[in-house]
Amino acid sequence: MEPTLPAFVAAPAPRRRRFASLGAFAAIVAALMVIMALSFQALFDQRSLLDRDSRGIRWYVAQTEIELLRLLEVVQGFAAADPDATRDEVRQRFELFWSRLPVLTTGESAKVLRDIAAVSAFTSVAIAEMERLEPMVDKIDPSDLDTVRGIHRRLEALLTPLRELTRQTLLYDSLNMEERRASHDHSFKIIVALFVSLFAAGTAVFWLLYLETTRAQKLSAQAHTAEETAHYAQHQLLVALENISQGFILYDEEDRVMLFNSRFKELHPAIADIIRVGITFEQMLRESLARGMMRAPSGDTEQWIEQSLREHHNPDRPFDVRLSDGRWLRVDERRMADGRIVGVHTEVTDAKQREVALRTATIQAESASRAKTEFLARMSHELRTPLNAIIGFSEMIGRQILGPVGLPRYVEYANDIARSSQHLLGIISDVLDISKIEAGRVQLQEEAIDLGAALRECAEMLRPAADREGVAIVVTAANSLPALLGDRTKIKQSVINLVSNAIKFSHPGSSVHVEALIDTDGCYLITVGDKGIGIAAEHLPLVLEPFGQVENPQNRRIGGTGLGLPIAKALVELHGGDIDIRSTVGDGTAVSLRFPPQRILATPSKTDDPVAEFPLRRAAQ
Amino acid sequence: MVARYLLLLLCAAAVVFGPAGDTAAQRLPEPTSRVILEVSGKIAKTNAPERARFDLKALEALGITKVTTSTPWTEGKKVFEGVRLRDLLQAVGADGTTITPVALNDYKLDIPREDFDKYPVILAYRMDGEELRVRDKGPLWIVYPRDDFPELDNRLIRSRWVWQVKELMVR
Repeated sequence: MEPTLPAFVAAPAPRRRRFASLGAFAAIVAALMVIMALSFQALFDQRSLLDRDSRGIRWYVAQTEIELLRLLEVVQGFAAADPDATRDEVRQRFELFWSRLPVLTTGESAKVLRDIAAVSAFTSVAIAEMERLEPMVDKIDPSDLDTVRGIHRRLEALLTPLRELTRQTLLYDSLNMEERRASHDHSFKIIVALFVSLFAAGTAVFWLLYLETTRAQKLSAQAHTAEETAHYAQHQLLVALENISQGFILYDEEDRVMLFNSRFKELHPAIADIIRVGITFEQMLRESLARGMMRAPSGDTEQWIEQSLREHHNPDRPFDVRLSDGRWLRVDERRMADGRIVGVHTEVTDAKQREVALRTATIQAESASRAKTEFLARMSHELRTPLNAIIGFSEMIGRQILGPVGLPRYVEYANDIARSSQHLLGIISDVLDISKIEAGRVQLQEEAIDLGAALRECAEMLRPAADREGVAIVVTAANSLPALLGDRTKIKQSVINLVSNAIKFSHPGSSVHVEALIDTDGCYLITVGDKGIGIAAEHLPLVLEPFGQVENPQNRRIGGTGLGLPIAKALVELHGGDIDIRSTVGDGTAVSLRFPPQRILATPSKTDDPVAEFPLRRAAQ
Repeated sequence: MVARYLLLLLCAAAVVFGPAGDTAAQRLPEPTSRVILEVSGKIAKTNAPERARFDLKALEALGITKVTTSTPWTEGKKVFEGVRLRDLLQAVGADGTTITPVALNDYKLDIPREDFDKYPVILAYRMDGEELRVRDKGPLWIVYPRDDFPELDNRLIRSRWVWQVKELMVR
């Protein structure tokens, strides 16, 4: 399973910061290198200054002066006939003094002494003097005092340049010392700077390291948390999938099982042992067939498998599968954008069973109703035939067509028989009508109806009855009304039923209004209103039921089958319309037949009649 | 008989106790020309009261060692010839740890004996074939082979290049 991880999983650190850190490190390293180079330079300077140590020079110059003074002392003693001052002694002192001279002119100390002008001034004079004095010293004799004194004088003359050399050397040494101290100070400053820089650099490096470390820790902690959250969410998702009542399965792009819950196995117990990650849909399908879990509906199994695979790869809508053990499964598969397929299997056996039971019950009920209707239709027909004979013969007797009846009372009886039979025939006709409608045997003969004319015809037909009751009929229908598409006879029958009801329940002297109009919803509306006794609100639903005439003392007086309204309702409903009754007890009733707008034809039915209102009025008796 | 045994015993003692045992064997040859070096102090062999005196010939007889090296006081490389101090000290039976050379001008310095045991330090009497005169820092000059042993090129060792040496005191 590879879930989409939440977007808050840690992103890598911004590159800019990395570069900043690297830059800082590079700058520190570069600065350290420069400072170290300066320090090394300072140390080398110190070293070369050490090589130019002038203290040794001072010693050499001092030794030279000492040797000269000793030589002068020995020569003077020799002149004064001191017994210690032998010629050998003079010679050795002479040699010793001489030995100091090359020290000042050759070797390492000479390099330093080159800077002192007095060196060459002294040594050149001294060496020349020594070479000149050497033969005299070799032959020095106490008796030749003049020579001795000459030697002394000449040697003494060397003291002046030697002392100048001493003075200059001391000066040089002082300057040298000063220079060295300055150089020392300079080097010291550089080295201090080095240490300060090292400390600063070390601190900076530690600080950067600290920052890096804490940032890395924070990032890793964030990543850790995000990962944990993702894992937790994943885990919860798996737990949730495991606990749903549906079987869940996920196939990869190659149709291999990637994930399923244990409910899926429970729903397919016959192949539970082979359901595992990696198995293909086709393998499972074939195994189900092989183990008899499923049965191919037609004989050609291969063809059925092919069909099933096609449907599996392009799932459309949920479908139900009946398993051999009688269970029903609803399979809902969806193909995801990446080509994987997710499937949910739900057991729907109970629902299926209920559905079957319901359908059976409906079929039974329908066939029972049909039987009743057919029975009624047949019975009505069977009843009408003898009734026609009764009516025909009783009228013949009442009119004494074949000759006078002896007793006038018999004529009256015969008329009663004829009237009662007429009434019975009407009931039977109504029952037959409603039975036909309920049995669905009624076909509409549709045509364009001029409703104004149709309503007037109805009024004409019922005028005798209205006259008898002393009730006026008023028809209101605008000339501009469009034609209505419907069955002329059946609509007229409905209207007649309504109007005759209205006449029956009207008080003498009142009027029945018949009106046709198009309401605000665009429906065709035929309303029949009276000012009669009215119907109580609780009885309204009843009057629309067949034989639902409300028990009323007055009804006894008024005959009727109670089928008028139900028939009208059924006929209107056949036209796709409905019926609406509004009534107040003691204030009359208004019944409306409503036809849907589709039944209205665009052109007005007739334009030749300019009269908008067409009252039919007869003086009430 | 007793005298003969006594003589044998003395001979045995001489063998056991080494050179110190027989003064007759400790005499060095007498110098025949001008003496240029005296060795004094804890030495076993002498040719004068409490000291050993050497002329140039006697030193040369101990073996001539050549050391080619630069020095802080001369220009370029010089070839020095002289006696190896290790050999000289052995020749006088020196029994000390510190050698103190004394110069003609009475300059003195203590040198640890290890210097001479570890390195072929010589007491030079010739430079570039010429005998060292006093004016050339002769007659004897302690020369360290500093070109062969770079560790010898330092100020402490440089101070031990004593010139115009006339005496060695062994302590």
